[in-house]
Amino acid sequence: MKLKGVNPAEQHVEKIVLGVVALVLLGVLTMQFAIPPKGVSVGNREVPPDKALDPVLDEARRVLAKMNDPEPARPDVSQQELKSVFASRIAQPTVPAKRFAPLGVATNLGTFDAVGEGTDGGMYALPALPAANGPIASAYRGSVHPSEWAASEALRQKLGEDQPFDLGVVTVQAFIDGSAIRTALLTDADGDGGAARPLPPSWWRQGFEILGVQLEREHRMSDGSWGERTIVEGMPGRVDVLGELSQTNTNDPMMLVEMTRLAAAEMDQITKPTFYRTIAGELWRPPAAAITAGSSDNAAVDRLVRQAKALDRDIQKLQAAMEDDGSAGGSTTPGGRAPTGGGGKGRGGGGSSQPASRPSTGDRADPRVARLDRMSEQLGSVELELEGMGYAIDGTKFDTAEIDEDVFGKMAALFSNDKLAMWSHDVTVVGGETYRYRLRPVFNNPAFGRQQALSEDQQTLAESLTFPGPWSAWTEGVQALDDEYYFVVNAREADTLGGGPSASIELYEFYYGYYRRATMTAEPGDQLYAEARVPDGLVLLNTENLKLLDDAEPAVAPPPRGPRGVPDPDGGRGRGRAPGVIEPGITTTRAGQRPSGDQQGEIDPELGEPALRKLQIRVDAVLLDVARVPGSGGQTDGGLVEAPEEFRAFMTSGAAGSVSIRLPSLDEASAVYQAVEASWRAGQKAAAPEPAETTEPDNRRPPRSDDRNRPPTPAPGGGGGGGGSG
Amino acid sequence: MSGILKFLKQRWLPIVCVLVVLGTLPTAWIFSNKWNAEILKTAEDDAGDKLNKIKRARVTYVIPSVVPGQQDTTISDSPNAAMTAWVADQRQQRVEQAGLVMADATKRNKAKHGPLVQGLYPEGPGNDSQLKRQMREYLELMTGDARAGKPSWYTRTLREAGAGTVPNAAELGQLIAEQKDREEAIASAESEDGRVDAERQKQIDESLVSRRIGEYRRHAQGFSFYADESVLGGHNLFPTPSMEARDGAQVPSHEEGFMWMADAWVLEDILGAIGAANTGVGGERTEVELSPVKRIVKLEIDKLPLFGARKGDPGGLISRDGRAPLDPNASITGRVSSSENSVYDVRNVRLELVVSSEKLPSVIEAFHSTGLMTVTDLDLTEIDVWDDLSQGYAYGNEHVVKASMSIEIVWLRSWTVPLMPKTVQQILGVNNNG
Repeated sequence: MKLKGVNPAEQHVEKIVLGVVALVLLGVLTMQFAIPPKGVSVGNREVPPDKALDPVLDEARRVLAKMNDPEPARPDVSQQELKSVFASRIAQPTVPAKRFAPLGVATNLGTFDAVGEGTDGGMYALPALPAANGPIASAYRGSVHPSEWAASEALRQKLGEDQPFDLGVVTVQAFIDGSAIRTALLTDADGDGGAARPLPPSWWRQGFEILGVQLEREHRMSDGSWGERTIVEGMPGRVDVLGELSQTNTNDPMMLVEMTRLAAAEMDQITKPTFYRTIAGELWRPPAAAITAGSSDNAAVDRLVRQAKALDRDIQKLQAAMEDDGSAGGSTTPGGRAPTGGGGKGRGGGGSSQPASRPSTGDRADPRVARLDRMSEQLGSVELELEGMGYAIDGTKFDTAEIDEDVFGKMAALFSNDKLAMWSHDVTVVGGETYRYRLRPVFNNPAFGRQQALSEDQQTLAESLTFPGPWSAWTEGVQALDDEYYFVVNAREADTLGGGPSASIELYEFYYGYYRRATMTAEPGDQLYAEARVPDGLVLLNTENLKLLDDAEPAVAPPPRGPRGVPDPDGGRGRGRAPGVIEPGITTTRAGQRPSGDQQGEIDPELGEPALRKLQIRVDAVLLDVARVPGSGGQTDGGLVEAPEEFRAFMTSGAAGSVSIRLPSLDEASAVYQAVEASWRAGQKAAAPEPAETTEPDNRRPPRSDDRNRPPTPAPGGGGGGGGSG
Repeated sequence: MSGILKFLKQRWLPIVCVLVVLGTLPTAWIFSNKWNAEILKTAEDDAGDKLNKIKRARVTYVIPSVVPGQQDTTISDSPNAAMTAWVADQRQQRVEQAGLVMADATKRNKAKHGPLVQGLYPEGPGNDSQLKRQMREYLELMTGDARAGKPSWYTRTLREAGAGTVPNAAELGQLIAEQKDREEAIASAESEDGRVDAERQKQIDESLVSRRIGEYRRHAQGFSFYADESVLGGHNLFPTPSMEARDGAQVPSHEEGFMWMADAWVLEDILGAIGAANTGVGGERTEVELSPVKRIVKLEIDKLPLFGARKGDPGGLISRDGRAPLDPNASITGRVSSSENSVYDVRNVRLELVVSSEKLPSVIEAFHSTGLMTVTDLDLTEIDVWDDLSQGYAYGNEHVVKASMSIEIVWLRSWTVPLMPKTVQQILGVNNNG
């Protein structure tokens, strides 16, 4: 019943208030439970208030873990070898040079005859100096760099005007014991009771040096004997103290003193003269290195090297055949050998033998592809096995970073050096001829000018400026590399189809650093003539614009000359040559080619003119006939095996028309063929542009099984061992 | 208005209640927010403090570098037993390396230096009379006895180092005179009138000159360089050659004797360097004509620096980290003796030599490679070779100059202090740095 006088608001106010409060309560409950509470920031993390200590706990656990870590991460602390640092700094020279130029004119007191020493007319015994031991010789052929030609009038006369300046040389090397020389000087040769005394030390303490290394040569005559013994002339353009002395007519001992000082300063160039800088071709090596490179004393290495060469040859033949058939869709690597990839020991993971590139074929069923793969894999295995033995695939022993004492001897002054290497070059050899050599060091004569100190009988001792040591033993015979060769690689008799006898002949001629090859098929009556292709880009330099290269490196860098008797710690051999810097801004590669990127055939006239592209090789020889080798062919082993027939070619050559018989198997197996053919191959590889790589072979680590990184084949060397009886 | 008031008066209680209820809500809201914020802040601060304390629980490991120019290695991380052990090992290795170098340097620096008389240094006999007797023997050793033909220690040392003197003028003069008489007699016998003509006399004179020069040069073949006691100079602590030990003569004190010994070591160092320079390729001592150092003209040794017991010294050199302080104003090396320098003492020597100008680098190198010596100054002057030759100095055929050098010799206290008497240590201020 509605109350009289009460409005609806008053009537329901308590409900309204209750409603408002209920709404507020609802809101509070919603805020409490539905909306997340405001968090706290602890260590850059926002966490709920009830979990405020969680970051602290986490950090504490992390720190505790670090504290308890048995293998904490250690910083890379450089190992400090203070003692070696101290020792090296103490040992470092303070003054950069061992000697200055004299600051004034030296006083010339001349020589003197010491009273009381050497004036009593007593007899003096010349010392019995030791001979050089272990003489060996090796032949080399290279193209002399025009800068060398430009720098020496004598060399210009020898080489003429026409480039390339190809030159053959035989180098003879031996070792001498300097400490034994000193002992000999001090030793009384005829004993204490003898009449003769050793030379007074004061006569030779002022300087006893090697003024030159003299070379004597004998030529193998047609009857096989040795004759035409001659003293070999010095190498044009090199330090020739002996030559200068021989042109001097003086009795002035000071002249000898000065030459002795020069010899002391130039000891390395006198005992180990560098060969001429070459513009192309394999680097010259000392005989001890060249002979080692061409052979090994390890029969297993020889076998593996032969196996590698045979595999390489077969791979090339197979690739060529596949290309001819058109079944090779891809390209092979330059040089024809499919490079091998991994496989075998020593390679991480022992990868598959997939070659880096090989002929692809649309017909996967071609069995030759599988055979090619197999052979490539075999070759890779052989290469790895050789690497494990310390040899490259061509039999070259890997160089070490250290100076090879077996090649360059010890680096010390004469008297304190028991293994002083010395060599001399014979640039007067005639290609194709065989020679043998012996050498001896020539010293300054300590008794020169000391007539007053010598007895009447020994006055002649004081006349000569030089004092030669004894001759070494003769080397084995070494054949100088000829300018051109021919080899019969195949011969066939007339067959039943009417084809006449013929022979496959490879002609080689040396041009611009390498032997260039041409092949021909000759029939009886044919003169040997063919045209060889020379790689593009070879330049005959403009000699008028040549500047002498102040820092020209020698063709081979023997242990660099540091202060006398002190090996240069930064030195090393076999650094080869830097790219030939002809003029500032113009750089050529080893073969004289312009850097890649230049168009073929475009040569800056200032630089020179292009070399021959085609080489006409004409050998003075004619094929007479081809005949089967008696006894070859037929059946052996009771008819089970068919022996191959062999044919030989009869050749006539020379004005006298001498006849020679050439057997392909012998020709191919000969050392000369191996060397000449290797030179040709190297020339082919050198033709491929290598702008980004240095021109030196890196023999200090095993090369990868990849053609591009193979060390070059050794210089053709007709090596001769030493030790023959004199 | 009166209606509203009447309405309020009649219903004041419920109105007040409603107002109270409704007013409580926002008030509670405000206060609860405020409290909430305070609670949160307190919790945040508390957690933050704890977290910072944990993060500050780090240590700094330092592995000092022993190679000059290289930085120390500093590692700031939580402490870890394995890391602590490793750092300790690294530090120990460096300490060992430093020890090795120190031993090497000490050995190099000390060379063959030692007491010239055994049993006298560092401490002599406790008995005064015995000490005096030993000091007298010491004096005799150093000064020699001319009457008994005993050379002084200096003369002996110079000879052992390869020093020699010019030929005896009287004897040589006699020799030349005899030859002159001989040749003149031959010449007059050969001449028609029994006289020696001018041309022949000239020849005789030339041969006599050659003979004299030859004799000088032959004589010079017997030793490595010219020097005798007269070239030795120095300060008043250096015993002069004229001092001789006689009964009753003044005997040096123990400390004075040590200073003599110190100067003797300097001489040994200098002669050692000259010997190194004058050693040929075969390890043999070269004769004068081939030697880089041909003559010692003068040798002066500066006093051993004395600082006394006071700390600090002029110049204000302060040692940092125990290292010897350097004074760039003192010399090009900056090394200087000072009371703050507990590592080494510096002896300065002024030397005048006749050297081959061409071989001067090897002379400098010899000083640098002997002991711990440094050439701090070098002046070259021309000399009159013929004038020296006329006095008997035959230098040979090389161009020679006079080199005036200042040599700085560093002696490490690691080997000198054990030989110093305590009194000398006090004089030198050895114990100033504890």
